[in-house]
Amino acid sequence: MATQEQSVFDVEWFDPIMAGRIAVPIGVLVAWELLSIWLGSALLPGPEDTLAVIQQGIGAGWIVGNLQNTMITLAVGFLISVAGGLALGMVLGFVQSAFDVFEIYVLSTYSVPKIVLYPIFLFIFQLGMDTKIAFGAAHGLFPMLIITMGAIREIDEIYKKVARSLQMGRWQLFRHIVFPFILVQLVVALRLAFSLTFLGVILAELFASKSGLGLILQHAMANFNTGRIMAVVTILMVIAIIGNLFFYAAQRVLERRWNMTANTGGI
Amino acid sequence: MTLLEIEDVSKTYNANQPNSVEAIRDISLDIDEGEFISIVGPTGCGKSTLMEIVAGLIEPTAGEIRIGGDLVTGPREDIGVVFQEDSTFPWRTSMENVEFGLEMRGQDKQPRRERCQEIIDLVGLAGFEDAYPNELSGGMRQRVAIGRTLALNPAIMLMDEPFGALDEQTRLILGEELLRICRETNQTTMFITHSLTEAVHLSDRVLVMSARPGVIKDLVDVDIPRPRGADVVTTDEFTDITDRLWESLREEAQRGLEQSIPER
Repeated sequence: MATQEQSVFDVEWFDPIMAGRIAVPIGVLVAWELLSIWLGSALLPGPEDTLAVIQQGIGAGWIVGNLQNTMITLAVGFLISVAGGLALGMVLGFVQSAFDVFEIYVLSTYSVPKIVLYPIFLFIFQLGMDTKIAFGAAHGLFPMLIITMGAIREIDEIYKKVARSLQMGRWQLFRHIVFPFILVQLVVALRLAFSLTFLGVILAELFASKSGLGLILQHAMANFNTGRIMAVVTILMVIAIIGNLFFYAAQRVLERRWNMTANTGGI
Repeated sequence: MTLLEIEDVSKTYNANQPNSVEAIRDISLDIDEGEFISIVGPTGCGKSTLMEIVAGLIEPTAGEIRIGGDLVTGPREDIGVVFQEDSTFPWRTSMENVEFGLEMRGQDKQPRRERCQEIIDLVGLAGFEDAYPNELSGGMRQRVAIGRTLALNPAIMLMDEPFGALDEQTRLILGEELLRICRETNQTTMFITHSLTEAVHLSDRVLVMSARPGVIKDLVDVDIPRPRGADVVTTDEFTDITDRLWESLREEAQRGLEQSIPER
């Protein structure tokens, strides 16, 4: 038999990092369950109670429509924040004078808690989807803008020299040097833009809106309907986690392949 | 036959301003087709300035550059540049990096691949075609950069301390390979270096530049027969030439040090 002592973990199929990653959500579920037992399920419904509320909600119809509403708002807001952030980020990244004038304002505006501006959004867009979309987009725009701007400004001088010595045109420079150079950081920007647009949309729904999961959550909180609170919170967390994992995976693939590390430009 | 003519070239940065810097003054030099010429000089003597002027990347304040009689007014297809810094693209494999210039010039994929495979073999990257730069050593990455320039089949290859960031052994090996490549392809080359040994080992002629403003201090023929293996560095002829170069350079190096303004 084996003369050497072997740890039970010392086998080929066992990946300790992967095991740890799987253990964390299981641990969270267990902690949730224990906390629910301790506080009582009336105060904090446990995982299985929450699942039951979600099933009931799907049957009763208050989940699907509002979920759809929130997701469409999120999707449109996200697209606007990405397009706007990319466009503005490129202008500020490429045009030195624009950068010199606007950088400080962009960074300052980013640090303002945008919820204080929500009334202004309501005046402009009225109560409805438009306000939520605009408010979500206003959140997501900033990481996209700031990271795009920073990434473009970080392009190595040496690549610009190579481009000049090869007489590359502007479009070639963009397509073959600028774009691949900033791509890894753009994926990080997409992830942050997604998270912040989501934050903006839910904030808008919680604060004043006519539809969406945030509104349901706000009603549930007002009525102290703990089952619904936990149901909505669970659904929102799942959306956030799935969205994040998707962009994070894309980032890791690019980073590994090119050994380029994403630098998020101070965000 | 003269291929490259450098005629009375001077360059002053920020001319007519209080912070003006005269980088080089009245440099004249003819380089023959197939010739390998090295430029040595103290830090800040304007070697890189001269190279960038020849490459058409910056304009001289006075004087002109001609290639085959043609006035150089900007970057050109027949001038290839290899820089000191790592200029490989991390998002492209070795092969894709070598193909880059031809791709930008719109050459079709099929002939481009064939041409670049030859170049890959020539610069000793066979077997690493699909490797990304992060999987290669610094020396291998510089082979990729050299390959990218050679693929364009430039009339003149300008190299700005291409091995400057590499360790001594790698430098020697790459130097020998560069020598072989330039012989095989009869490549006209202008090579900037800090290393006298490297300059003498590789070159037909070595140009010594003075401290700023850089003028031609000395121009030395290296008539050591080729092929020159690495063992050539121990011969008397070799030592005589490096000694003479060091004589010209010593005083300039001291002055350059005193100016101690980083080379632009």
